[in-house]
Amino acid sequence: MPKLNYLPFTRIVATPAALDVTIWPTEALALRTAADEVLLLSSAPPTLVDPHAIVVPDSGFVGAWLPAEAVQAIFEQHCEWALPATRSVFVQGAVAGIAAKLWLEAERGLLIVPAAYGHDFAERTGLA
Amino acid sequence: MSIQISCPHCGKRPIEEFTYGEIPRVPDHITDPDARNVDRVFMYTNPAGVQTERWFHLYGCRRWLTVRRDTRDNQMSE
Amino acid sequence: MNIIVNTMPVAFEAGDSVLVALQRAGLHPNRGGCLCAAGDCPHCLATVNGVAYVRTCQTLAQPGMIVESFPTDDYPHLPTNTQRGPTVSARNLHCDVVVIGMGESGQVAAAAATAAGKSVITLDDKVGQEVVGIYPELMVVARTSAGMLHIHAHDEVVVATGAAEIQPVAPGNHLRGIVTPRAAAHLAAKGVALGRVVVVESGDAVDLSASPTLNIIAHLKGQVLQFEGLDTLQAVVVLDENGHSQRIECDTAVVWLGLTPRDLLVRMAAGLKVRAVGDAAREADLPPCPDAGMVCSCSNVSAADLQRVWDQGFHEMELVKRATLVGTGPCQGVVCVPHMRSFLATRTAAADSSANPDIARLSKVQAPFTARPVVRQLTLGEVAAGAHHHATPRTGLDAEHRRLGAVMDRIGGWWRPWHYGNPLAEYWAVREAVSIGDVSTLGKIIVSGPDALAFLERLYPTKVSSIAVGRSRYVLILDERGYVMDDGLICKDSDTRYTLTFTSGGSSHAEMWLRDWAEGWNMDVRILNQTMSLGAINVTGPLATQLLQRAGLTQPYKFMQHGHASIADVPCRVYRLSFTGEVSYELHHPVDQSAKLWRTLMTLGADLGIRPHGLQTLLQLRLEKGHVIVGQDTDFDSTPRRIGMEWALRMDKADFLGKPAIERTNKTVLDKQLVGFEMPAPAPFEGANIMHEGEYVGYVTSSTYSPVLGKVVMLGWLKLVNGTLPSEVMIDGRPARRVDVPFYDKEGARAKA
Repeated sequence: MPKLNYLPFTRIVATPAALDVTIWPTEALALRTAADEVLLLSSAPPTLVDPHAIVVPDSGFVGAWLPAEAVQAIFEQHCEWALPATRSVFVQGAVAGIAAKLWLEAERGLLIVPAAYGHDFAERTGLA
Repeated sequence: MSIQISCPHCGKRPIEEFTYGEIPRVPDHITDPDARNVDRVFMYTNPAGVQTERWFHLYGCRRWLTVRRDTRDNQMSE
Repeated sequence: MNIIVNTMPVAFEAGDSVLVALQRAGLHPNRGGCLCAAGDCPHCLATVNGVAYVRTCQTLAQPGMIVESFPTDDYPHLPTNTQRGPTVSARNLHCDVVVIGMGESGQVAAAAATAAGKSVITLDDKVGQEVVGIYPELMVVARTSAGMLHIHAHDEVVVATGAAEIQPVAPGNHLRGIVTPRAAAHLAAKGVALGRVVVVESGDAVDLSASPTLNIIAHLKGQVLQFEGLDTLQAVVVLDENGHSQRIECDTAVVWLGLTPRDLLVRMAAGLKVRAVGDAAREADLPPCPDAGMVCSCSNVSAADLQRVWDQGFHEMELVKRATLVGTGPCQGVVCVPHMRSFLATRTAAADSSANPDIARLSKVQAPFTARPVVRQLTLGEVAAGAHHHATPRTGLDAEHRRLGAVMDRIGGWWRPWHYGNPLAEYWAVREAVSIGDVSTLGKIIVSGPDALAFLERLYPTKVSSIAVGRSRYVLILDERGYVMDDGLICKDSDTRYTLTFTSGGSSHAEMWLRDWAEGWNMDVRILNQTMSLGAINVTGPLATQLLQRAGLTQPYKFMQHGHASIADVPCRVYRLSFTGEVSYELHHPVDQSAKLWRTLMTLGADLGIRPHGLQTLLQLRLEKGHVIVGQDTDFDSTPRRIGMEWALRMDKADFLGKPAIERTNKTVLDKQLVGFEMPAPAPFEGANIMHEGEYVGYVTSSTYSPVLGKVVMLGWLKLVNGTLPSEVMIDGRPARRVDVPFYDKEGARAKA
């Protein structure tokens, strides 16, 4: 199993309308964690139409890319809610009792937790 | 064990992911402006029926949501 | 192949249950009682592989399995060892329809759901999938040999568990040698010798012709009046259909009283999408009213006990259950409920309803009582499967603290270093040299937007508009009742952007609190909680500035000033402030660089006498300065007036959260106040009573010996006596004096140096 590593995110809070019209860098993952918030896997954020937007680099999350089957197995053992059938898809909620985020593609998924919980998450899911 | 709440952003999740935020602000039955300022926390109607509640999705989007819950059977509606 | 029963090997054949192996050897799992061999009754319970209360009829015998039977007891003894059982895993599965029980009706239901395009999961106790409960929205929990299954059904749960045979109630029904017809057929097929068999049935439903090995010496319609014997059955007394009673000597009595649906799972799921089919949905047969004998062997309730509580006025199923505990044991009422219903129906019909209005309103035959999860005995491991306790977060310096030998504890919701082995040396490093401490746990939240100032002005009791860009201000955080909820800083970044800090304990609540009011007041603001994204190191002590200059700090910072700087090549937000009473800089930085920053500071400060300090030292330092810790020194009803911090309020502001409440409470007479005390060593414990002229006047909230002052300093709640605060009090039976805070460096010159 791969280890959890710090991820170079940019955290963006802006009006939902501003986020809706933003064109995200093609190579970057833009995870819509709330209507007014995006977690961008890139250190080069785009310009936003909201002048009051908060845009800050954020190293507060750790994560690992896992094969889809490994994601499925972790969810079966440690999660009461079901993975959606669609791909690619972003979901968030409690996994192994810890607030987790998941970007799930057809073949693989990026599992993300706050770095402060990385130790416990790895211990509980075997991602040590 | 597994009552679920529908988060408008994240979807249906077990209740353990949420923090209860009591009833939102001043209940409507308090009309006196001074009482509305002070009594928000003390004066509940405590209905046996549907009431409006605030829940915070701590394990997901970390935003407040409002649900209507029937206190008799925990049926939730938005 | 052998199982081990009470240290003796007992042979079994492949496919035998533990019960069959025991019976074939002439053994019984416990004292006795009618056997069903179908998992319904409590009469085959034993301890298997260290687990008590195992249904041996449902447990496949395996070589070397260790079985403990209890020939003279009704039940297995609970284990007395404290050894931890094995961890049990859980699997969460999701589907549209769950079908429980794969008999005929279960198969039909599963096929119908599949044909309708539903995804179906079936569970069958014949293959070791034992359902233990159904929970709201809609989760079926089942035990398997590979762990627990938590199955989440989107559409419905179909219960196709069939029906159980009703067991006889008559004197002697606790003896060994009594079986139901199905159990007789099963045991005979497995080669268990049942000896001379008498069949007694209420109708004509029993056909044992498929069991030719049974030596049936009599087959009667009627009712068993008594089972005779000492431990094992020797004879039955039967009242036959012609009204004659006869006594027949035998080894085994096969008794048939009809069927009762296995509907526990349905009865625990009222209001849920759970449906019974087949025999699980049938009407329950009603056996004769029990006059004598054991009704509920789980809770040791006899027919005489039912009569006693009836006479006491308990006439309803639910009440009789509570009065006797009938139905609350291992079988959860499967055995006793038919007899209870019959008993209550008979007594209700016989009662003079006109004289007993509470009996008159009862149904002729009452419904069974509500069932609750779980219906099977579980180990703690099985209950805990898939459950996770609250995880405690760790700062970016957690590994660093442990490497330095810190004593770690869970404090304020985080793992934090209590001390590093020498708290006194840590203390003097702060007071006389330089020290670093991990304050990553502080709440850090950015508020930005056109309404940022208006929002904070309404939230906080200070005049936010008078804070200049680049400056910070200490603030009390009040709730709408005017009670102190937390404290922290407001740091102004620009006219439309502020960074707020909160205490470690208060930070988890702070974000919810900000978002709630921002939404409620319809404020145009953006909120970002950076608490877990930013590490924070407090650099404190008279040599702190010197250390930071070595690490890259170029500009001087005034007290309560903040800005950005690169310290040890780490991008830092620098806050000049003071909690310890010495010159202090908080360095907020990306959490992945905490260890790098920490190590560089330790190296650069080696010749300055640098040491890290833990929370124990920090609490001591702040107490010398009289700084209040919300939650330790304050109570749920602590107003700014009561804690002596009215200076932090601007009552001339038009409005702020809690202002109307404070105006109200200010009209009442002040009753108590948080004040400082000092006395000679040793330090009283925190919580010690404060006495004045023999009367209780308060208690100590914080207490420490102050090395620099050479005496004990304390904070505590003190009642006003005759309108004034007593000056001389007794704490721990010793004289103590009330003094003004701070205790140390009253002018605050050291922090501002």
